[in-house]
Amino acid sequence: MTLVLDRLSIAVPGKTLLADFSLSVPGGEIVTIMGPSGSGKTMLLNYLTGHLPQGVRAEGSVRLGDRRIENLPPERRGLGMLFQDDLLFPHMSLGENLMFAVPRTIKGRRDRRCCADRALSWAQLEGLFDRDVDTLSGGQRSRAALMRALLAEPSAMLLDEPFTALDSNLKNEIRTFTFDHLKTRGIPTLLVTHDPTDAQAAGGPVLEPWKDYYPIN
Amino acid sequence: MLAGPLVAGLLGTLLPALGYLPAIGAREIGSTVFREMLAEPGLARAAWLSATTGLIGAGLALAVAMAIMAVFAGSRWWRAIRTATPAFLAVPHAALAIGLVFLIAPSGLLVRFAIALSGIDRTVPPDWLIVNDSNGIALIAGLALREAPFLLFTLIAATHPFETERQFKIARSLGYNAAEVWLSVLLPQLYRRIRLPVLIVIAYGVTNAEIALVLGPTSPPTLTLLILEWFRDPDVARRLIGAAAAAMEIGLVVLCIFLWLVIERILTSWRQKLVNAGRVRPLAVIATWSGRSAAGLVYALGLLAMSVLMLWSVTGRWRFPDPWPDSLSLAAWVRSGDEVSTALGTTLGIGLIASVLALVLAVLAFENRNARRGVPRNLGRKTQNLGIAALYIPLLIPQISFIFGLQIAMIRSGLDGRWAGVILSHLVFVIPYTALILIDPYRKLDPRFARTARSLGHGPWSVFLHVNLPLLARPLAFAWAIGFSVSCAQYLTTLFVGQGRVMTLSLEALALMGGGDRRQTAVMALLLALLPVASFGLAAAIPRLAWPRLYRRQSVRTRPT
Repeated sequence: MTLVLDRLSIAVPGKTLLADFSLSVPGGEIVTIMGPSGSGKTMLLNYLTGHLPQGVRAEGSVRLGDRRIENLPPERRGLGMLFQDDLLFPHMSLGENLMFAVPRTIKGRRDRRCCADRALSWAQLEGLFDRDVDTLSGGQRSRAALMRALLAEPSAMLLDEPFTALDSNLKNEIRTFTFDHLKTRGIPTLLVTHDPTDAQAAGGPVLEPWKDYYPIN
Repeated sequence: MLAGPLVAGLLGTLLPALGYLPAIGAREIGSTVFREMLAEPGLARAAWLSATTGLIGAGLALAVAMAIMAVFAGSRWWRAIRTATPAFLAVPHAALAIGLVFLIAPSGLLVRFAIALSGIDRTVPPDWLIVNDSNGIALIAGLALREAPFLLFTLIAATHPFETERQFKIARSLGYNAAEVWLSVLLPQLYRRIRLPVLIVIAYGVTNAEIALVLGPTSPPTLTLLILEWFRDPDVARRLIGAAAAAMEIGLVVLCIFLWLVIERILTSWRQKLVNAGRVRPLAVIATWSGRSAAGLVYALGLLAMSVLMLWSVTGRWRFPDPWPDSLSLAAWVRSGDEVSTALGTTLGIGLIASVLALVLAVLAFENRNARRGVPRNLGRKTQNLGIAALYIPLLIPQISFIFGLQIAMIRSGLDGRWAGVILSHLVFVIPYTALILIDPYRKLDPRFARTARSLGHGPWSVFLHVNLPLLARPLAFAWAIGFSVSCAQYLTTLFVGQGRVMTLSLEALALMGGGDRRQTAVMALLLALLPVASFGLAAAIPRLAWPRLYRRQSVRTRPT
């Protein structure tokens, strides 16, 4: 499956954040978008996921395979997300967090639990199903967040500076873990970051759509 | 929803004030009624009483709340105070005031104890005018006692723990003790955030009926009670005068708020001068001592007032100087069983419907707004603030000033004397409080939780049910309890719109208080106090029972809200 952005334009009153931006991300590839904070990276992701705030104008089509998705409600776009924070739900156990992401086509507690257990073992978190998420280490939480996103079977992934909050030795480990999983599953991935080492590790094309706007950088 | 009854009410009061009330044949618009009203004896004195008791009571409550915060924040008593405060602010004004009378009146518990301890021999109560004194000192005390926990609560809610702690540490490192830091650094910032609640307390203090009925002066009474007398006068022409005075009361509130803003200016600059001169220590010492004694006094009096209600409700015989009843009996409960169960059912039913309705409406509004909450900060911010400011309007306008018009509107639409009408009128106050409680939690809620859930394939309803509802369980439950308590406490609205056909506990309690049967009064007032307290208990328990993982205990760890 391929994620295609076709001639996207995003503008807030008095400022154009993105003009005629096109991009194609084939399955298994990780495309990095670099830009300083405030440049409109977050707004781009908000447009893709369907969370654009009021007052922001945006146009352009977004396709996933042969589906147009830019007018679908967020939950039906098939776009998984990872943020800088893992955002595991604090009121659910680790296992419940994962089960929350299992698609609704899989019914019955036992089957859903089975999916969650499988994800736990991929993330080397076996046996931690009932643990409170705030008793987990930073690395465990990051891996769990990725697993939760993958369990929902996304057609494409959007990563919003997901490694920024990690300290440096953990960063490498989690980065490799994340990229390996995404590549083996053939998921088209868009990585938004301001860290050049993220882009290097991703090993895919690097775009800097805001370079011309910020000549000093 | 809010504007309809409010506008109808205000118009329905203003027109009669100008001499237009076709129902009684008055159709001439002019200033005659106003001139008649101004010529009323007792008017100036009543207005003066309203203004002074309201301003002093509110100022005292604020001083007490600030002193308690300065002294106890972070101490080992702090958790207990934080936990107890919502329960105290839940108790309806009428119930607290009645309990206070049973406590401090010449025949009250305190005098009885004093006589028993000192061994003085007397069989009649001293004829001191402790309650209903003509200067309204008891009224001021009642107001301060009731509103100090409320303001303390808003102070706590306005604190940003992280930011406060950093500033606290920095200021301590500069050589100030804890109370000094609170007075010179933290409270001034907090005050700015709670200014509107302070104004609400002033408006309430100046215009309230419940506390003034029980504790206030009688001849003349405060302005609101004087208006109330006119509204109930058999001579319908007097009602026009009442309407004119009710319209004037809005002006009185505006004047008092203006006065307060002036006083606030003076105090602020005086305090800053002290800080600049390095002389904040004496103020801190005073605050420390008054904070300690005020905290003790407020909570002890509150608890005692409730206990004495409990005692009187099961008292059989209790002769004057005895500190304890001769016999205990459930006679009062049995005797007023019918009224009690009716009033209890009515209060409960109206309160539940109004509070749940308000909660649903508020949640719908916030969820809707949150869904398209923007990152561009300056965008739509003005309209947002305008919406929030509008919520305060019903809380700042004197109830008596639109209740008369509201009654007329209700009669016109056939809703008077019915639950629906009473619920509608309660919503005018229940919705603002419910919404105001929820503004901050919704603002602080990390929208990425919901977005993550959406990206995992869950629709808006599922996201609310599984993510936002549990994450906001505490403020939502709390907002419901506040709404319920506000409905329970309503007096003037129920009185006028219910037309005596909808009898709630607060109506019964205040009516019985005038009659003088202490036992039956105590039964009603006690139930009136217990319902809101129970709702707060429920609100504290529900999140813990439903989502034990998140609300297992009151842990210190950072919460999502």
